[in-house]
Amino acid sequence: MKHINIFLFVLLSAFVTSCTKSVTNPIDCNEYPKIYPDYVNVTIPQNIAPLNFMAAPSVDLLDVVIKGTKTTLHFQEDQAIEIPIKKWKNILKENVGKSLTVSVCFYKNKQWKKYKDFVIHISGDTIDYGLVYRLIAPGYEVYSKMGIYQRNLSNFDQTPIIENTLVTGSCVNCHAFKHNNPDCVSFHVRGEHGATVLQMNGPGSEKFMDTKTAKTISSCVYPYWHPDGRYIAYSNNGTKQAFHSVRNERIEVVDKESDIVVYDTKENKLLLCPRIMTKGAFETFPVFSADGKKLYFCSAYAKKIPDQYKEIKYSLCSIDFDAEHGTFGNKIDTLISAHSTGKSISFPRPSFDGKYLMFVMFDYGNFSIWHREADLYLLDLKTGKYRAMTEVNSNNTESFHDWSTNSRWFVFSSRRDDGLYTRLYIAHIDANGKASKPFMLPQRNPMQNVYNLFSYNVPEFIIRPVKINVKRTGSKLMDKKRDKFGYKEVK
Amino acid sequence: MKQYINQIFSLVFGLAVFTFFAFFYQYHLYYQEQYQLFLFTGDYFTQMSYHIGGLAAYLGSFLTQFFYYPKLGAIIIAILLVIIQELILFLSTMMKRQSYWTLLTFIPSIIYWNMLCDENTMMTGVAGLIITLLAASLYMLIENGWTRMVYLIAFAPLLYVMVGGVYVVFIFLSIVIEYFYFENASTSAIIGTVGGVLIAVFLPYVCSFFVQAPLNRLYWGFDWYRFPIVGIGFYLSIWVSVVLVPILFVVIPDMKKHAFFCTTAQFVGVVLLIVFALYNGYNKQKEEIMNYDFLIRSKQWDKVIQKAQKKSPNTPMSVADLNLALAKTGQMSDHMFDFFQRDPQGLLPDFQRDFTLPLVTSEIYYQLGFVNTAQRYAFEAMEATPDYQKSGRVLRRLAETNLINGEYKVAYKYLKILQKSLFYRKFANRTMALLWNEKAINADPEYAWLRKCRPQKDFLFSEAEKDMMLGTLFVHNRKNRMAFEYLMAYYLLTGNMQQFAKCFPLGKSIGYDHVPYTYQQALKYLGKQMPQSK
Repeated sequence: MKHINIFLFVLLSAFVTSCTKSVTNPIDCNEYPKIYPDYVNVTIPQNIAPLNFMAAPSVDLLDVVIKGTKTTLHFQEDQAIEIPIKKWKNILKENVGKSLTVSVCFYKNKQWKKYKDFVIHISGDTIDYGLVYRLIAPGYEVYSKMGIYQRNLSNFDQTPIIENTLVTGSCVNCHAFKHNNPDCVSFHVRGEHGATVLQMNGPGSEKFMDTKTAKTISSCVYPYWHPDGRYIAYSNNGTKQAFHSVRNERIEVVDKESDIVVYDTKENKLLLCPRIMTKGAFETFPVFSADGKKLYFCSAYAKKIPDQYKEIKYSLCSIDFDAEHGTFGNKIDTLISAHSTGKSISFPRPSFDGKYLMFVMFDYGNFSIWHREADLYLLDLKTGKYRAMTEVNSNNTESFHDWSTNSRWFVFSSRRDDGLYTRLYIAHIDANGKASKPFMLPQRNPMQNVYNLFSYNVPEFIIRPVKINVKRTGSKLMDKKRDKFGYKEVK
Repeated sequence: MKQYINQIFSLVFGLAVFTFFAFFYQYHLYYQEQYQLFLFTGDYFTQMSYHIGGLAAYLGSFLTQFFYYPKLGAIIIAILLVIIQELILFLSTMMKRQSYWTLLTFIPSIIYWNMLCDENTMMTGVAGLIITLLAASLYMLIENGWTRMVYLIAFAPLLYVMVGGVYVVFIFLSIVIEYFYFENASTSAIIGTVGGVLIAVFLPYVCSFFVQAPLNRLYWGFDWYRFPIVGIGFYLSIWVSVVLVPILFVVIPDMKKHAFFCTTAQFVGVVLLIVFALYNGYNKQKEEIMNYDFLIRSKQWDKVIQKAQKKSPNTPMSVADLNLALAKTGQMSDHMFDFFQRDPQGLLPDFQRDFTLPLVTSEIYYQLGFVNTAQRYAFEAMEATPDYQKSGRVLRRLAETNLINGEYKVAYKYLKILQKSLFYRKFANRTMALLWNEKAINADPEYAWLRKCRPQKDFLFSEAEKDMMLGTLFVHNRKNRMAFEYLMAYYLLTGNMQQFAKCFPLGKSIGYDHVPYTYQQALKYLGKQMPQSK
């Protein structure tokens, strides 16, 4: 029996070695290999899925050696390397706080080329269980199949939370969780069977709401949960789209009017505060501070739309919020003024440790997603100073972003890959607010990023899987019965 | 001769189907093909087959790609309809070998022929039905009653995943076979029947807890029709006929003494049914519109005009196609009013959230030089496709608009996808060579010209101000004759003669060798109406 085993082992070894081509007489290239996605010298969490990659442009063979302190992995493929999850997890576990060294050789035109080794640093900071995002084609007004999906970050599993196939002709958007906790969910379904779906205590607690009231200009959008879970900040936006004619511009999304409201889940009432519902200004993108005592938002002077759309520039503002009484402060603070920057701000997002606030800054308007110049910025809430996050920005759009629960990682959407289809990037940020080089969300096959005709929208971290009762949600949406939001005017 | 009579009938039927689709309905096949894109990738297979009825949808898409060449498409349809008929003939004759009712087996295929006249009927259904009939045929070949029972109960759910709601046909055919062919009423038959019926009734319901789709679609199936909502008669007409024909074979008494009469009556009946099916299904007007669209898509401008000269088009789409062809051949300013003209909608149709009209309008904007607008209309047409498919025609156009705009990475993405298709691969390979190659692009007459025409100064698109946009486009490139003629045509069709008169002198830069006939007429009219404008 033993002899048979040895024979089989030798046979298998011979088979394996016969399938690989040894790297002989390689030309030394004193540069990093061009790989796709670009994982050269990135910092990753210890619980991330394998960083499979390929040569860009393609080669005949790529030979990759990943070396850790104990283990070495060797791959040779003609397209992309696909690292087995189990081996990857082990090598990451063995090297937490250290770096993996990656040696890459490309074989093309019967010649090997050896590139400069690069490292993948494995941070000791863990990342949340997964991400939730919307997948939608980057279209104009019409939408095809879309959905909100969750992705397990430690492997490649992606499952739908809700797809618009559930209710024919619907659109799903604006998902939000209370501090990455999937027990508290808010998302919208638009269309004939539209509703805002609120789940406050896990699956089975879904409510199907009509959020438009007599006192608000539209249904509620852009939700953000208060840390104690009682309140959700929304904005009401009267939105219009316009389309550019020149080659490097595409779509302009403008608000004709917008206000901010806060929904009290306990009282089922929208709190309407005149200071954030002004006629002379557009208020939008509300978010609560980490301690829940402030409400950050963006505000711009109202202009004539569409004639003056390029003159609309949003400042970053805040107002105090008293969660105990559901009241607002008497004054609005302008943290970063559009007047001083000459630019516009969108999507403010405070870190959960209360130290920073990340936002997007771009030339003008409301919707940074369609602005190539849009970049991520970081505001230090203690010093009030802000800076462009040059470590992560590109010469294309950086837009929606979210913090991990421990505030050591952030995810953001960027159009850097091809200029149109947003892909997700994750970056580490240290205690001093210094970010590492971001890495693209790993896929089992890197070419999936090319073949995929969806954009990734609104990435949000989650600490565990989201559970939604599909059947109940579908039935409730179809029956069109909605609970109405009440409202209360507060001073 | 007599022993081959069934095969001869099948052959004749197949030839009739082929002739119809190849010569009388070919543009419907072109139309079908352009609203999908079959890709030879593992991802595409996974994506297509990862839903109820996915295998049938995948095969349907595979078959539809060949409609790019309508004669090939017609052969495929003919073969598939004959296969359906032959499988039903197999099932029926197994149940009763000596029957004079064999022509009844053509009924489901004739019904399907009628349904395929509707441009929204997808090939998914044909593929699904054939898989189902094969599964039922296999049931018939299993001798052991218990094995059949296990096969029925175990395979029905799998079949449901593969073909969708039509799996009930398998269940009911299996029950029919069990009682009429095997004449088995033992415990295994009863368990099989009860189990089968329970699976038919409850399986889609159970799936509704996991699958993101409305319950009615889980019962009836997906992708048989382009639109998600379709009357149940669409499914029932086929499903019932498929189950009923083998039953009729058994229950209708033999008419040995009147065999000739019986066969003749069936033949006449089948012919009448075909006539009725085609009379009811054939849509000449749509075929005409699709013909215009095909000619525009393939840039056969002269053929468009020749066709219109025989019969002037009258739908907004075909009038818009004709006007584009007139402009492209330099005849618009002389001959546009030789044909029926509607209003500006026959020139530059307004945007609709639809998958057909924006595609035509996209062609017009593209040829004018409104590259961004052409891109938007094409993209929107693809996104509006009700069955969520991507379109080979649109991706090709998007690759072109992005190439013209210098968005090479996006163009690369679309071309990489098209390289995985059978019939767009050649275009993709050719165009791939142009990426990041300014010299090669500028040497291409079409792309180079459109680069010169596209707006350089930004403005927001406005449906209500098409004349302003056309004017801006022309002012940017005064050699853009098409933009000028569309502007003038717009004023003529809206009756805005003052603007016509104001803009007329701008045409000088075009270098006409005569005052175009239409403009002469308009100027004459203006002269009569407003002598001071002379």
